[in-house]
Amino acid sequence: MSSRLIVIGAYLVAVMISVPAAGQQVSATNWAPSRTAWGDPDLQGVYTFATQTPVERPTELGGKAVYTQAELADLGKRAEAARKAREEAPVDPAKPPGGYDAVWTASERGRLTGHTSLIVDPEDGRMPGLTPRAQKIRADIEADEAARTIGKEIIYNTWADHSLYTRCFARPIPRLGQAYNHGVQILQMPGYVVIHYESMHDVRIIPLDGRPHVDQNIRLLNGDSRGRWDGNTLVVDSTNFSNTQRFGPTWLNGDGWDGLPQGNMRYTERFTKVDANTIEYVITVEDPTMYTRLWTIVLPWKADDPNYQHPEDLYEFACHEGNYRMMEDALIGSRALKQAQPAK
Amino acid sequence: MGKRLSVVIGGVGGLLMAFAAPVVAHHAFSAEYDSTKPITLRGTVKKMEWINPHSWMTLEVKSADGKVEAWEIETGAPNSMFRRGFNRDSLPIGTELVVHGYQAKSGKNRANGGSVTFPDGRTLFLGGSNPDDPENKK
Repeated sequence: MSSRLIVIGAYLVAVMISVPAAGQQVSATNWAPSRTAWGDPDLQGVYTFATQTPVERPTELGGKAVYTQAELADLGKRAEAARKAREEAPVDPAKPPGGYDAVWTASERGRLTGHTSLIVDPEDGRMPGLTPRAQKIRADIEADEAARTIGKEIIYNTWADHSLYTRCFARPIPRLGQAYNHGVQILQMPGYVVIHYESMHDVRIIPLDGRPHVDQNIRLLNGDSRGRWDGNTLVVDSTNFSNTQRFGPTWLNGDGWDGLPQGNMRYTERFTKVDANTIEYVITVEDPTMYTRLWTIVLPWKADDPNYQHPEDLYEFACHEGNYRMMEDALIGSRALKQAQPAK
Repeated sequence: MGKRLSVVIGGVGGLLMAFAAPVVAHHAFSAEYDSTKPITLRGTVKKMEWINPHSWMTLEVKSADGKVEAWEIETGAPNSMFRRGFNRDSLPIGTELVVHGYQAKSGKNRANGGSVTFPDGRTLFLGGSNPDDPENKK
């Protein structure tokens, strides 16, 4: 038996063990959403998925999966004090200026979810291990970057050395934490649900009529999504992602790499309105070629954030048009660094 | 955070570390700017361009020898700035500002606007400075 088959076998066992756990993540609720004119549960509205909860549980929290109400209240107070200090303290010219100060990001802070991490499965709240294949892909990506590094600086020889996100094409699905523009709008019509993400102006049009996925040779940056109703829950199955889009732990552990090719990933998203202002968004990520088991995230989408109340609160995001200086500076900057290299 | 510059939000120790979410500037900061070249610019606003993914502000900066040079400063996403109460009337042409940032590697007169203050040190757009800011309507 090849090592790959062993990995897939182990993965399937993990799936069988994990599915009941993942299914239990949805909050029990008796709250009933209103219905659309044609009888579907009504999820429509403007939401934000900004949160202060990290994707992975900090290791020092050990087995602690949720905060108590008292801990949450205490954390909330301290976070508010930290925010005030950060946003209102005078600028100290002696300190490094940093990327962008709180003025630019302060209206996107979100709240704590109550869990100690967005990942709720595996039980340790952390990403599962990478398969040998994924480890090799990661090593190759890092070797490519190392080969075009001068000192500590990565050289960008071409526009293609930048990620699809940096080039304003699309952000990877699922959307988790980002610096700003966490707004999202859900629209419904008979037979379809539409999800519009403010950042990148990505729009997912999700048919509900049971049609099969598109041909496997068709690859899409946001994948191919098919939805159905399971009671009051919208369940969306997404496949046909593209290997040109990379999804991964850049923002999970901050070590600077852009993640793994997304082509073999399959996502199951569950959207349940659990009260008037909250959609509980649960996403399970499957990719036996990359991860040693599936993993599940719970991230509430909130409708009561004053920054996101109306469709017009999702501003236009014409990223391509405004991005010319970035690419110019990155490419010219890299060429200047190469020219400054002493001749060998 | 290694290859990319980040601003860490939160993190005042203990349990709060739990939500010290790293916030990565949108566009490969390290590709554009030299983190070994911090720069402080004092000048007057000449132009404000409201473009995604980041806006650009042009400042006229007088050098020691009296020569006036235009510097282009990368600032926040227009969406974030609108929400923060910033609008096209917020910074009239000629407003004097101080920018702390990092110089572009390209050698052009460009920098990122790590922070922008008035000459007396006041940070722009503090909570309470704009009654239309959603932060002040809670």
